[in-house]
Amino acid sequence: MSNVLEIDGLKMHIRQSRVTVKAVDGVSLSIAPGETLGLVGESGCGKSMTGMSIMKLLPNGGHIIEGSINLNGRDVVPLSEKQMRRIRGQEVAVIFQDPMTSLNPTMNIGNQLGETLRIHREASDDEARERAVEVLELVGMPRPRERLHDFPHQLSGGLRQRVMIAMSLVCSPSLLIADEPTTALDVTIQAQILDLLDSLRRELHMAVLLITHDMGVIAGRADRVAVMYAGKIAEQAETSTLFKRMRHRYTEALVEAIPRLDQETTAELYSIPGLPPDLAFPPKACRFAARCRFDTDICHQVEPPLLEHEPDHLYACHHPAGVGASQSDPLVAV
Amino acid sequence: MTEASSPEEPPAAPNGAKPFLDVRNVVKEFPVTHGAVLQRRVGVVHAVSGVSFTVKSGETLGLVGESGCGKTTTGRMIVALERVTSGSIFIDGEDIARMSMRRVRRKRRDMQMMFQDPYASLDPRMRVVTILREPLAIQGIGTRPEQEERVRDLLNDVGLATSSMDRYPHEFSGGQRQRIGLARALALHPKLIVADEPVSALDVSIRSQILNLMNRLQTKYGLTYVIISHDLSVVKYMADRIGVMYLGKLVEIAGGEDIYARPAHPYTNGLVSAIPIPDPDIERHKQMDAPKGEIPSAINPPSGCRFRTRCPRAQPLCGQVEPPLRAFGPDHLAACHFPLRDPVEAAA
Repeated sequence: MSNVLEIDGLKMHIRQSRVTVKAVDGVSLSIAPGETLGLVGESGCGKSMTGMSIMKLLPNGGHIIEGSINLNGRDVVPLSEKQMRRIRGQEVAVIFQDPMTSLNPTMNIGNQLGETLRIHREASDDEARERAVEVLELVGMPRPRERLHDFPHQLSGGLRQRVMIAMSLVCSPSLLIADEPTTALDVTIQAQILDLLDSLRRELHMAVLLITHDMGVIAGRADRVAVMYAGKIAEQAETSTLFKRMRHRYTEALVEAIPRLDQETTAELYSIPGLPPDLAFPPKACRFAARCRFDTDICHQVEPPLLEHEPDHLYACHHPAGVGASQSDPLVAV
Repeated sequence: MTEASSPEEPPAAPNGAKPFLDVRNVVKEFPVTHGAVLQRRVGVVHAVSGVSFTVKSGETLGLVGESGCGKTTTGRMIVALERVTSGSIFIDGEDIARMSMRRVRRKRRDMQMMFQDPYASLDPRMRVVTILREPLAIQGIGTRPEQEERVRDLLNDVGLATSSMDRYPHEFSGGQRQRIGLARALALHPKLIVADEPVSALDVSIRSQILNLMNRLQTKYGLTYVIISHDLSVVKYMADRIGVMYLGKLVEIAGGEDIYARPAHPYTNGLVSAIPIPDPDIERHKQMDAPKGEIPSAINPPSGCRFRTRCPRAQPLCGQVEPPLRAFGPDHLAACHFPLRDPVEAAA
């Protein structure tokens, strides 16, 4: 089965007045239909910028300078803004962290949902309304027909996020980008929204790019995981492999730094020293070396390539965890 | 002060030690007004409705719950940023709820607050030295050189270079700003720090730096902490005991391990099960009992047990009678008519 999304060697740099921020610096990813790929990392690691590059909604000064983004077999990088407008919503849709700022406060729910259809499918008002009710039902909105006349401020955070998801589904996209979809919500509501995304993905056979900082959310919801650090992918594997045999020292440190509910924490939490690097001047070699417990000279001199060291398990680390002094031979260069 | 005066009063502090912080049947109501000029009162938000708990000196209590459960309001009342509608808050034996603002201001040396958003809680036009000197200047402590010496000590305590003194907040990262916030809270040698979501705005890799720093300073200065967070994992790491709040009520309070392993209240159980654990084997096979629906309005809270509208175990009784806090083990209280475990018979 061919992949819905295939990103190859994507570089998206943001030109600012004095410097160029290398926000996404050589990222390759793919997602199959019905699959959830988790993209995890801290603020500023480039995970959201990777998502926005797929939509080609870039910040001021942002340019894709290298690489390709194949969406359903077509590279969107060379497409014009006019052509992109047809693709957004139809083939790929996005939901953001804060539904209040992404919904139009002056438009009722019915019109916001219908707008997408009227633009993309040239639907009549009646058709648009019926489809709006249909998608609101799909996302578990109580009494959907009455809600059409509600404005965003009349809804709770959880219901607003359901409306956002409904909006993204109106034109049945093949790829849904969920950028921190539950970060602004309470854990109880988070569980409801993540359940909803899971069931929609299964029913509609959508590909989902789940962007989050929360390793717990990843553990429960992603089929595969890509860990990003400072504009690059540090490690990528199937979810259970990643958590059982994490190799990159950044992944390892990140998981060790999280207090866990199910474990007694008597010892001090591991804390990663320092700060992520400035992406206007990223380190030449390993980008995590300056904060790493296991760094040696080579880490500061040679950039570790992202290689498939084990089947379906890629990582870019000179001193991977759980691999003895003799490194396993890379199978395939990526 | 030694006799329990209200039915919701928890039993005396464990080990017979006199609690450092004793919150008794505290109520906070905010009027809902309509109109800009006449401000007609059209209702009341019941933010906190009769909450009692105690914290021993040097102990950490965590308060958890969903948005709107009253945890932040409770924390703000403890440092007198919000005055109680009724009830008492004893800090070191003195009831701050009955104090004049003048006396409260002096008492504030003992209790300080650390805020969630290090970007919003530091004045962008002040240098770090001014921010940290301000509490000392307000309380009239020391001469200027003495105050600056204290600022150097504080920066050292929170792991910032002394050269930070002449810099402005925007020159620091989120984690460093939270260190400045902690230094400011420490400036007056307080005994109690209320930390409201101290790490929620920070990245995972920075979070543990701040949490470990808070723990080290607690040991160094014998601080008592009340840590408020929606993140039960963070609270469990930090706290000796955890109080779970729901819609203005304390529904369960127990030791951290106890609350996670043996919750008595269905809400606690639901909250615990909703928290994602970074382990796919556990996360994918655990039983999800996350409460359905959303937290009701605090203007018209449900009668009887406030959780009953979302509770899988609710019965007609829950709508009629408010459940009292009952003991479920040593130092473990919960307010539920149909708890997940049997309560222990109240000891004499």
